[in-house]
Amino acid sequence: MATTNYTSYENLADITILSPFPGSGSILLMFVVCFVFWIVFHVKQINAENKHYDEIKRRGFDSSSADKMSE
Amino acid sequence: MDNELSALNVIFTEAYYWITVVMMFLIHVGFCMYEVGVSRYKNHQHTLMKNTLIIPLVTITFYFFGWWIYFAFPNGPFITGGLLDASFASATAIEMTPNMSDHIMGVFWAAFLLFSWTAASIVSGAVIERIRTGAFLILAVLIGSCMWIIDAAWGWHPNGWMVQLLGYHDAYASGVIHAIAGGFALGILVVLGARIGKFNKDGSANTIIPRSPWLVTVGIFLIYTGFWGFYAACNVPIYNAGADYGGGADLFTATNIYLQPTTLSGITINFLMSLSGGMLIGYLVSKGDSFWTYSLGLAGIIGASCGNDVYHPYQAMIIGGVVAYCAYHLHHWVENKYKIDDAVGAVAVHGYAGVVGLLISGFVLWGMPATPYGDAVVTPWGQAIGAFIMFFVLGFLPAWIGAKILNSMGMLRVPREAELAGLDILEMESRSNDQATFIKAERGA
Repeated sequence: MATTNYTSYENLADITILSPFPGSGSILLMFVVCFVFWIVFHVKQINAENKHYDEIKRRGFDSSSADKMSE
Repeated sequence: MDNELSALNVIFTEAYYWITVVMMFLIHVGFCMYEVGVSRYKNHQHTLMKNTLIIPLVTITFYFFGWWIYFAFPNGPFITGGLLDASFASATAIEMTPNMSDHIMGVFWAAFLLFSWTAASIVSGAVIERIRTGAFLILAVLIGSCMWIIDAAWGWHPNGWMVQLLGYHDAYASGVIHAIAGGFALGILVVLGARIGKFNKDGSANTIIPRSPWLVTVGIFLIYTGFWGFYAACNVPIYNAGADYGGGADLFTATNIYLQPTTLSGITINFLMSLSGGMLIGYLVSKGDSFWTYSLGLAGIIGASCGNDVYHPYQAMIIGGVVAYCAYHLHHWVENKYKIDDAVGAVAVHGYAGVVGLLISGFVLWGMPATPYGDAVVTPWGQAIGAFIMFFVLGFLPAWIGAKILNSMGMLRVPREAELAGLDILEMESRSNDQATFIKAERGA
């Protein structure tokens, strides 16, 4: 069993793609997984950001808070 | 590669672009340092992470679809022809993975990717201290993996419709990267508004002093350094122009992105002369202000870049100086007239400088062939229309629409309370508590 298209370098001229799972179906599947991850990242990041700003609003910080903490 | 000479040519080209990629990484390091240096202490982490996340997000999206756009869109599509077959540059192409049949695609992709980071990073600086990271990252993908690469297909590809119809010439991206990024930043700023306290009730502007002018200084020096790699990456290092279009006999030369002959030596002189023109004028008009002296040095290079493949060094210097003068005064005029708060002067240094440089190039390069593959020549009107397309059509307009949509969803700007307290206030509180806990433990040990 081999995940690559080659199992030796005896016929180097015949080797093209070097990556494992080189079939078009598996490449398409990997693309879909990565694409969905990209979209999910944006959604999760925006949700985390909303919570962050809600917390700041709830706590009632003001423009002098940062100065007090850095003293 | 079945003989040493052809192997040497291919491996040299591969290594050449690889080195430009590493050098251009310094542009992003410089932008991060520059932005953090300009921002106030309470916003440092937010400012840094907003720009840093350009790297992974623009990278993956440029791999998904950005690179394909460059090869598929030169005709518009539907301006001089249809969508071109660019399956070799798609997200599932074997050329886009390690393979023995192609050594160049990956490094060429990476060089263009670093241009993409630069386009998004230019925008990042203008909007600091009040834009939401989530909104910015969506807009960064829009400029970095969509809009700029459309303009590259149109005006930076030998067969792009702007090159073929307008005679558009922009060898080192005055418009293709800088005018579009400046226009894009302005489109967001119009919707985003100024930082609290930037403008007084009577309309006068306050200067928000950079937290660390020295970090700003080192940042711009790094941007200069990376810009050398940017210039080299815009060239094809060795090309048989003679056999391709120059009379039939072999004649190898470096070329610009349009495959027109130039020399690495020549563009090195012009890079330095345009930088010098911009810095000298910057020093004079800003009365020795370090921020503007450095920034206008950059503006000088950016303005002359469209023609720096062929300009005489004196032309590069003079154009660099004129562009710097215009960018400085346009920045302050727009700021006071329209109350635009561009925190780092990005719209001026990149946008206005790019546009003014393109306008000047139309007269200086009038009649020069715009491409080896057609009859188009450079004209003032061709460059002016090109500048308008870059700055407004592909830059300002999509950004303004994108920002309007995000704003209508309440996603564009941070809440007033967070802006006043500081975008890092919770992290600062956490660090402060950790410090207090540690000191207590240390004293009790």
